[in-house]
Amino acid sequence: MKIDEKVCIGCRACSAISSSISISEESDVRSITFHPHDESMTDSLIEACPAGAISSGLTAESITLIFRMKRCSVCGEPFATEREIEHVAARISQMQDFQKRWLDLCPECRRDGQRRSHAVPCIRIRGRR
Amino acid sequence: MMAKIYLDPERCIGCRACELACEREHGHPRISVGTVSDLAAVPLYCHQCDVAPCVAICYTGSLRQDGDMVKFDSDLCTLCGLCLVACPFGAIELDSKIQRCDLCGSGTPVCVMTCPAEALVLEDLDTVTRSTRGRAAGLLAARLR
Repeated sequence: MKIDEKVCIGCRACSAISSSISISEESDVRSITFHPHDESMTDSLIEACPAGAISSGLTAESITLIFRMKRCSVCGEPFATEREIEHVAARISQMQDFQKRWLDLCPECRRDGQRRSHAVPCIRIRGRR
Repeated sequence: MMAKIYLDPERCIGCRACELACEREHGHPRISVGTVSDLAAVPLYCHQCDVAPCVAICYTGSLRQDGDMVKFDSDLCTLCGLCLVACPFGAIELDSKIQRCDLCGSGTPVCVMTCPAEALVLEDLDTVTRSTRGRAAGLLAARLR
């Protein structure tokens, strides 16, 4: 298999199905290492890749791609690669009436925000007691 | 119209029984309770969006719209994790597989069955809207009296 590093978004799809692709995260970066492997896997990897970054071809050497992580605008925790966010933003902007502000938040802070908005009526009443 | 899980935050006592029941049923909780300012507890779970960003991003058809529900087929899932990024509510998690409320397949979901405060109900939208409106009108009437 060949990987196009300009197209790869750094998601988890290929590493989830192939043991010769390893993924690791360290504070601000996610690294994905593609080791040379059995070419019989290539077709399923091509199919699994959401970005179309994988093609057939022989690679003899390991290659490591580094992706910058996006940090949550509220808590500051890294939660996805910047390219994953761009990829999702591009798909979602095709949907009508969708603002994309939540893409700046990690899943935990999205839950927190939602809890706060659900709790507004309760707090208004209980806070007075 | 299909019944979905609706929440009355005023009834939730924050006991986390729904979380436990869900974990027992599915091996991982797909509902998560949190407190706000020590005054309210709110369980969160998949909304089964009518226009779902997770469905829009899923390129394998693993997540798909089915009537007014979002269905998930784990056989098609590549575990890419993009649905976690797309979900506006943080209602999808990834451990060894995608964890997201599927209303327990059919029948009454275990969280609804377990909730001792009846804060979680399985209803269709019309019924919930009618009772919420009734309650709001009751509160308003009490204030005006």
